[in-house]
Amino acid sequence: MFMIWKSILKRKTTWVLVVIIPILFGLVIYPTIKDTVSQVSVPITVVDQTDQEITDELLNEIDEEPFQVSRMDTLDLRLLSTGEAEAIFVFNDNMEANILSGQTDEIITWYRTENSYVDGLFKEKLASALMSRVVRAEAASVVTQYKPEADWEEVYEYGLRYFEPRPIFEMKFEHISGVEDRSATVDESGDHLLFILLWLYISMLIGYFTQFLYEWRADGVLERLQMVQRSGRFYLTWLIGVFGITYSIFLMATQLMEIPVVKWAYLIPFGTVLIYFIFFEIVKKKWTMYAWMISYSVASFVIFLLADWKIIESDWMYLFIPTWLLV
Amino acid sequence: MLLYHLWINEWKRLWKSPALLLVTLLLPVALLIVVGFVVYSSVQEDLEEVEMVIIDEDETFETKALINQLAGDQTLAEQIHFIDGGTNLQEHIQNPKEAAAIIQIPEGFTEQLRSGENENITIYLNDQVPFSSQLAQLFLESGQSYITSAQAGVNTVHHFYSSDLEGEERSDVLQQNTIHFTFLALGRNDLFDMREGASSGLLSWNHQAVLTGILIVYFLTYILLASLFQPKENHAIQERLQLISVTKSKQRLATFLFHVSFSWIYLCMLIWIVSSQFEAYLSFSWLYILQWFSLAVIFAGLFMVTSRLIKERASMWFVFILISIAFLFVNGFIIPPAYLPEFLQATWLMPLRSLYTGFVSILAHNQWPWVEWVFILVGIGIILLLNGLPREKVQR
Repeated sequence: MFMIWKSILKRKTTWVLVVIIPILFGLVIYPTIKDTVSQVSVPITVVDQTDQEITDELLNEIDEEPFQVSRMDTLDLRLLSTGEAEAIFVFNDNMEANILSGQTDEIITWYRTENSYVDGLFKEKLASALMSRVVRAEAASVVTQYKPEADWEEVYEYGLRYFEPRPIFEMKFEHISGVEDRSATVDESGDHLLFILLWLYISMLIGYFTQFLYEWRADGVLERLQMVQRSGRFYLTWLIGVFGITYSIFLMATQLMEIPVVKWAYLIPFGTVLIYFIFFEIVKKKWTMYAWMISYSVASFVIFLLADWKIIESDWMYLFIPTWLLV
Repeated sequence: MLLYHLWINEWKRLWKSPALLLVTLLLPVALLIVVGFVVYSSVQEDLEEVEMVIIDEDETFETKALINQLAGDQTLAEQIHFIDGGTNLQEHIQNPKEAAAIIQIPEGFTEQLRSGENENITIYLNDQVPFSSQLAQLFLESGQSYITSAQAGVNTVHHFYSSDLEGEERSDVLQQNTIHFTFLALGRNDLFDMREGASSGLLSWNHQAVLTGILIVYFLTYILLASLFQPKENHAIQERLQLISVTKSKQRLATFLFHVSFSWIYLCMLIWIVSSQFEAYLSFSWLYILQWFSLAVIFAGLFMVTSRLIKERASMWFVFILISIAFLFVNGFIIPPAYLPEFLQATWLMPLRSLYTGFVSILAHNQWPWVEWVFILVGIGIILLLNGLPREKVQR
């Protein structure tokens, strides 16, 4: 019966699909994609014509991700028309003095275009960093107005304790329908997209192995084996081999992509192999089987994504094997 | 003439399998329509009215001022509605209905803040309305720093001044400062003088979305066409073709011409349909179609060269899809080019980005992308040259 696998392994395509593509993907492509995606950022330009100390302080306070902030000393609006900057923030020449004296209106000029997408997020971060100084200066002014003997500097510095080491006011987010942490869900969405692509690859791989069953059926090999009552062992050998290959790729890839596989998810390769095998038994024509399996795979892809985004939540969705990851 | 017959033969093979042709044409469109429609309708329904229930167990002047400020702030999403949820938290948690979030302000919250202690407000996000609950979280997170700022101001003044006062005067000053600092912190937009210009090196959301949509449909259709109608490798047929001087190179060129001509018809139809159905997003223009056509020629050329260099089919498809996706990524079709890592924005990669920058010239600047077309023509020339190069014969 090992002759079956000997003939499968003789084909170059088998080695390409089972060994070369997974190795290339795991060792070269996936790390490159991960590294490149982590470097995706929004270009922001900050212009400070007088090289003020407060500019350094503010930029240090702002968490750079996902922004790539470049600092310049002259305004160049061409950066917006070439797309090199999403927005340009020009700092007032006497910014610190203006903040301390309470003259804070329009201390920053914010240049953007109607097609700038996410510069508002940077504006919010900048405003938040500025506001911690603005309110402390205002509080110091209010106190010295009522109590002229108070030391302005002391009051200004005192206010800092409400921002560091942790802000005085924080919100705790909880989820009603069982998901513990939203940030974890967002991270998982990226992994889940990779997971469904992995499943499509595994499904295609099983489809490739099923083609051998059709070839042997067409050549009369299966018929002859049935006559000597060896077809059961023949199918078993095929199934064990395909299970071995798909489980190896599935487990290694989920480990590499750090996708947590629990409970029902372990049955995903098993279910996929089984469904191909059942289709092989029911459908006599190879191309009809492929048409069904392509439709099933595409439908599974769509249903999985919709279920992952929580747009659909019904029991019938578990008819589509990849959704077992979400149980 | 020979090439013409080979090209006609490719078209004949297409008409011979109407079922496969139908799958090729309809599957990508159906996929995009189903996913797009379900997501769009769900997001629309979800975001129509974002409700937030407030359970104010503290019920102080400060918490009421905070709620009023949040509800009345013009800079926040207009569609957010705050609902007074009374004091029964459990009832709302068990049956949140359409509420995106339930905000619980615990008893003693104001007192804790006044004494300078870090006190959490608990927000229960309703995962049954995922988009609006995510919006609610974004909105509330941005509010955290401003509330901290406002409270820092109030506490500082209280520490140095109002804590020395007594009775009604003390509470009046506290209330006055709460209002003053809350307004000051929430008026963050006054810090900026915003100037918006029309000239941009970026595409608008609408144009980017249409570009991505057309690209997904076209790319999937092209892959289905190239894979489902790939000629079978038959040794006997190849030998007969060689006898009448039909080389492999000519066969590939005929397939290239077939892919290009199919793409021209397909893209004209697709863009005409999209522009007539979504006029607000895309207006019909031959310049726009030409730019898409140049992308189609590049894809067909890449396919031709890959099949020239790699004989084994699985490897050929793997390399072709990989190169195509990398090419689209570097261009900026997947993530707009301005956001790509610095090494991908290098000047020497500019010719490779001609497809996307061509679209930017047409859509954002209303200009003919002459320079980009020169680069594209050079690229096509290189591809045709690679296809024509003779394969080195191995002596046995």
